[in-house]
Amino acid sequence: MMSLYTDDDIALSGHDLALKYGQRTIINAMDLTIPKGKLSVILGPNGCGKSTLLKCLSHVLPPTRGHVMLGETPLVTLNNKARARELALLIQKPELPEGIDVQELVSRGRYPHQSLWRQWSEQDEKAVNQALNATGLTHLAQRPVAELSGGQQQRVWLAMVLAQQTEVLLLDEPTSFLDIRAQLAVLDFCQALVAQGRTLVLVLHDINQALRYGEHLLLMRDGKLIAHGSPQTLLNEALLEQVFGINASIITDPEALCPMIIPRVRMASSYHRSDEHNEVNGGLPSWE
Amino acid sequence: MNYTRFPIWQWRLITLRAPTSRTIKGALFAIILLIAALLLSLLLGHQGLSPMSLVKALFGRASDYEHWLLWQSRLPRALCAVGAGMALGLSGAVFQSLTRNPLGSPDILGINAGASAGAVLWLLWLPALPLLFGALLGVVAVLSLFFVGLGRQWQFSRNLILMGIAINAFAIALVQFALTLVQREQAQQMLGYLSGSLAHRTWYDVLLISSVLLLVLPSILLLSRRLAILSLGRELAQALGNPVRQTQTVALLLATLLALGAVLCAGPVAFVALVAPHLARFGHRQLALLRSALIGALLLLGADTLTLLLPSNQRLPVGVLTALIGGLYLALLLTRELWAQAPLIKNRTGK
Repeated sequence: MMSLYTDDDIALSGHDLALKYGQRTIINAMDLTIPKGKLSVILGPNGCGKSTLLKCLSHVLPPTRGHVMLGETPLVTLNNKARARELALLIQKPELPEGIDVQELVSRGRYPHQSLWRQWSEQDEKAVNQALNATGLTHLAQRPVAELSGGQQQRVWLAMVLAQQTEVLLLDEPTSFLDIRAQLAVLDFCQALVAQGRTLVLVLHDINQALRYGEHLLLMRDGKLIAHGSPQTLLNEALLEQVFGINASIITDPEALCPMIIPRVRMASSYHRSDEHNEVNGGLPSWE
Repeated sequence: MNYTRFPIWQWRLITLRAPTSRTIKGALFAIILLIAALLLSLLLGHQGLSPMSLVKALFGRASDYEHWLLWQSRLPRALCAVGAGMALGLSGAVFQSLTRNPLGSPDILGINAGASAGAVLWLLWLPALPLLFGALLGVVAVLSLFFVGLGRQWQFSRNLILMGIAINAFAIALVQFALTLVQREQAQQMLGYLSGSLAHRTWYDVLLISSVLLLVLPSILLLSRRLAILSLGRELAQALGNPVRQTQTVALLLATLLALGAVLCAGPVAFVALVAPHLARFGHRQLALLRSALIGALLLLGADTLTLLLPSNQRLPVGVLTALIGGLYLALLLTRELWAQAPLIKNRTGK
């Protein structure tokens, strides 16, 4: 596969990846590279396999064909905990254990660093405190997580994966269900993590946020990688139509001077006219 | 930070963080409470010993009757209650974290019923051989139904619980079928066993339950950290490096073995395994498995002592009492929790 990056710059790569749930193929023959020290964003319509791809890259769902490479190491050669020390995954809707407090939840990120012989140590305590501090949760450490707001809860989950102290972080829709301020806070924080040299892979739904924060974009549709590259060069109107099925124009974001998309106005009035005599819809407008 | 390090490394094996001094004090308090309850239970009941004769009997200076009463009747019975209660409490706690569901417990999942169905059918057809084999076969049958019937899907708690409920109903039907086949006296005797009874326990039963506990306890404690991680859900646990499938399989086998031990020792006692983990969740969350074990022991011992306080012509099997108290208590607990969570409903009914 042609790569935009040399081998040294690749944090994570998938080679001929395929993943099936029973008979259903979710990901099909996918080759991809995640550049080291950059913020990559996976974009694509609902159900295109974005979340599954993240699970596949972290071997939470090992691929049914092909393999994942962590730098130059095949991921299968690492044991569970060694893998979790290199690669953290935050899934979209994690389960919150009943009654757990912030500090205890964040402490669970230290699990891959512990073993029978290496118990809770100064280092673990330090990592948890640092993660709490960085996410501004120190004053909430003893509070039950369930009592916090959505934005605060997302910070707790972020702190948990930060306590894992991995070079690579995969975050599945970390901004979903957050208000705009909390969304920007999460994205700014991710950007700061990348500035420190970490590799981040985010699944986002907001294309404009992806264009502003992403340094490397991967566009998916129907379990396939359609295109990848930097936001400046990658996007054109035909690609937006192909991946998302939308008609949008691309302009320059006046704030960040990166590309941004503006969906074109659809002529609602033409819908109404054609639906007026539609017996099947009972006068309701048709969806498409 | 507000915790002190405890120097004994074994303690830290079983919690993710180092246990707080409060956790340790709590555990010590529960152990002392258990010992006190054990002594108290020996003193109470229509066949109870006086404090003086208890001390004498303990040091071998009592009359033959008192000596027999302590060493051959009351002590094995009380120790069986403690052992079976611990096994049930632990089993319930492990099942709950395995299924991440408050309904996960050996009595709901049909393990207890499977064991007793096996035992009763064995008693019917092969009465010459020990009951143990029958109960073991029953449990193996239940487990194979889980694995064969559900395949890999058994690890999803909803499947496991629904299958368990089905198996439970089937096993209870088998037991009732067996009861129709036997003479009246034998049926009476079987019924006593089937509701869970600690009458006429011997040192053999104590040996049985303590060896099951000794066998299973270390592995469960080693597993407890993995179970804590599993409470984050299968996918996140996997992402944190916990081999989820292996964890769940081992947990299921160990918890089943504990339930089997308890059934063999005390019959299928109801509700202890379901209630103990709920009670253990009050206060701090650390060492929840051990706390559940201690609470299970206290519950069963307490209930058994209560049955001894009843007049001797009304011998109530302990299982009936635990079901009576446990069922009511659980209903009360849930109602209170729900009412506390839903102030709207409260206000509306208040006005």
